[in-house]
Amino acid sequence: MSATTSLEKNKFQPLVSANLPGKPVTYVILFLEFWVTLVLMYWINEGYYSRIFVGRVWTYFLLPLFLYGLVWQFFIISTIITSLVYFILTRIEPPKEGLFDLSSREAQFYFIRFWICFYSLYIARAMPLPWVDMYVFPIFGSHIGKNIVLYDSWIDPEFVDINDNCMISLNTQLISHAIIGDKLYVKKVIIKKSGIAGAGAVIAPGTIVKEGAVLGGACSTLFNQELAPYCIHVGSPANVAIPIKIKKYESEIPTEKLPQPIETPESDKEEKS
Amino acid sequence: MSSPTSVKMTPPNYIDPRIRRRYFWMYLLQVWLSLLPTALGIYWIFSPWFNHVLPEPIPILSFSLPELIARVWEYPKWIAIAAIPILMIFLYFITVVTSAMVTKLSIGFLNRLHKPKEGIFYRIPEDKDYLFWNLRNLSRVFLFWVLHSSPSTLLKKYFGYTIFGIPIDRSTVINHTWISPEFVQIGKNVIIGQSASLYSYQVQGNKLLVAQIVIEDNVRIGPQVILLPGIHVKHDTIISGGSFAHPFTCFEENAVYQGGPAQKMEP
Repeated sequence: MSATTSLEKNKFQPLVSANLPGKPVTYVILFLEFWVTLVLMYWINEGYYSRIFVGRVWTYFLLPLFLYGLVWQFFIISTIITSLVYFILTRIEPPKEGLFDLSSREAQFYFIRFWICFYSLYIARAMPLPWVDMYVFPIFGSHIGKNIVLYDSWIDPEFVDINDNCMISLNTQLISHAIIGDKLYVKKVIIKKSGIAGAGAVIAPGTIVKEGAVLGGACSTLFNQELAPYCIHVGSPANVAIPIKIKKYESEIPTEKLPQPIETPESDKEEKS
Repeated sequence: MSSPTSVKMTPPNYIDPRIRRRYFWMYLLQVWLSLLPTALGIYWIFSPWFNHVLPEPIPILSFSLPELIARVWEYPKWIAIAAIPILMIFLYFITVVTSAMVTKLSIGFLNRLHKPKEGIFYRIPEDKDYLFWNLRNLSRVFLFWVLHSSPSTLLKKYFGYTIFGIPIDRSTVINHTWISPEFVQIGKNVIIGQSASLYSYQVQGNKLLVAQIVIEDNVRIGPQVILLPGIHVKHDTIISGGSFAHPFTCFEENAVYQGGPAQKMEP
């Protein structure tokens, strides 16, 4: 079995994905980022805080607000520094889609970039407001539309395109990279307008969720699969499509190409009638 | 991206509320012990910042570390400022080490009182196996909270698992996963995907089942896979993302599995 032939559309290929530990370079870069962030913060705040508390007892009541501000300051400074580092890394080796060896230059740079994005997104996720990370994703080249829910899910930092009015539920894994044997496969995941991914679903690299398509909870897609518009897709891997019967959309459903929907057993029908 | 908040918290171990309420003092004692060196370190490093709040420093700690560094280098102030991030990372490391030591001590003490066992136990605090299983989990809660509150995954590998008798090889990847810290055996060159969960226990009615999970060498496990107690995964097997399996299933070697419950597939 060669990996390239089985990556064709709608053929089963096991999905394995993990972020491999980075090189020592990664730790050095991340340490330097943290160091620069904290030194800058000290430099900005030193004069202010050393003067404001002296002789004014009432200012102690503002301490919670100052701490809250410091948290946001840390986030903003570290995000700016990370975006600079990311920009430099993409100049050295531009991010590419395709199939690479794990030891190749592209794959190694993918992992270094991954950990740099991870650091920034970890801080964004640790902020008191849950939607902050949506403003961090565009820095790493992924498109994030308006009116989106992606609070508690895993989304890879690169090669992700999420359009307006999408919902990505709790614990959904949206993955744009996979490990196939000794190779790394990177492909863009596209979710078009008002697509929905259920809770605990796994979206494989190269998946295209079309307008209004729904992926059921705890279901998984195949590599490079296209989910038909205005249909509910279920199964692991998702091979059953049920059209959503709303008059407004019925003209847009491609009924000829769809896989057979599940028929309800006769006993159920009798009970209902 | 970033692991879901549910994965970022404690290891996936259920603690009985009755036992948790009765032995909460144990958790508080652990927190106190493991934060003691850190608190002293913070005071030592940042004492000039507290000088106008606290009138007199403790005699033993009458000088701070930045001052000491400044004295050695004959006072350029920027060296003291530049040392702050390094000192903060050092403080975090000390917290991790001390909380791991305290947890190790308390688990050793608990194991002296009652030996950990696999099997089926009644879910009542009077059952000694169940009680001590819960106490061991309770004593790990603070350590895992400390480990998960930084983006580092190396510390979790060594201080969460390897110290407590689950040796995880350098070639094995367990980033952002949920793995029970007991009765799990993981081989070499294993890759486990994001938020995959390995439970070595299961609740069945009024009983608790605890059995060992064995994962042999060169196994690849996809994201969001759920493995239950007693599962044996043989070498060179791939389990595709999003699948799960019933307890006590045995995965054959050199095979590919997918679905819920997982079935053998031909790619």
